[in-house]
Amino acid sequence: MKSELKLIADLKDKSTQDHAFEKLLNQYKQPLYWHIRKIVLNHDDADDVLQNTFVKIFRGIKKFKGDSKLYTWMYRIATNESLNFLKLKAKKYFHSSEEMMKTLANNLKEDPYFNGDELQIKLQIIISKLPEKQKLVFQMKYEQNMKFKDISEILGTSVGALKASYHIAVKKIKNEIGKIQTF
Amino acid sequence: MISNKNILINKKRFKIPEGYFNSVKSSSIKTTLLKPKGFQVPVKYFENLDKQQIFNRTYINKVKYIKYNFYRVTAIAAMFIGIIFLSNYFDNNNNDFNSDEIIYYVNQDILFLEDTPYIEMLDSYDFNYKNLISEADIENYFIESSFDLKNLIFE
Repeated sequence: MKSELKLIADLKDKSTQDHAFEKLLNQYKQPLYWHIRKIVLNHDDADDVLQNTFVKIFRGIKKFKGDSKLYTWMYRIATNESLNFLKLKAKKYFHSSEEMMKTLANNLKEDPYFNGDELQIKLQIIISKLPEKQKLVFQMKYEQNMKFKDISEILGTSVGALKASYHIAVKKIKNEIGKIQTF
Repeated sequence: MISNKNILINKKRFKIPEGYFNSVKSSSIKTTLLKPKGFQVPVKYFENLDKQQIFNRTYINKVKYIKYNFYRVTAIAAMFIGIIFLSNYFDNNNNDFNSDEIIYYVNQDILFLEDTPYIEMLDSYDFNYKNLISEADIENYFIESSFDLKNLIFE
């Protein structure tokens, strides 16, 4: 906690800003990248969103009051950036967000940066069909093993609602996987 | 009742290989937790992602923002200039000519009219002298003029 406070103070100070930002980037580029990648699925899009996220972090750090943890604040920016990116993409190239997510998940078969098996692709297609909040909470809880309290801070939803969403998401995914395995 | 204290439990029955905890790095745990199965990144992607890239992007975004605002301000200014120009243009194009301007225009001999246009401009009402000169005016003219009425009659 002390080191985080120091990092924030260094980021706000112009004389130490550069070095502190480098430290922040090295510390968080991987977790934020994977968080974004799970939402946008494609590497090029994830790279674009990640860089935009860090630009926003760099610009917004002066306004960061420390009401929440630094990493939850950064995750919130990354999540919002990813969702906005997807909304714009859906508006530009697709009829609806659902259609776009289905297409993105199907495109994984030809993606050079995806080497998952058939089941992995099917899992991604199932996840892509989930409503936005359920999808996010499933990815953050199941895949990243984050605490509900932190997810609540990031998504701005109560812990109870998140637990319910997670429970529904897991149930839906289990059902869908069950159907696949039966065939 | 047999007390639990009497059960001999070797609390150190589980063992770990020597130096196990030294070999496990927290970063490796984090990465495996974060990375979803099947997803990959280009070789040395994370090594190449440095702060300079972010700073460049910040600079590009700033330039884009300035450019966008410049175009916006220019468009608004052009619109205002256009409105002012058009309003002046319509003001100058009204038909309120003063007589000096008309005289000046006619004197420039730009206007050449044949007989026909003149005829078109005038109608029979204009040729009826009674509309222009009353009988009283004629009488007054003769009275005021130097003509001798007697001589005129004789003539």
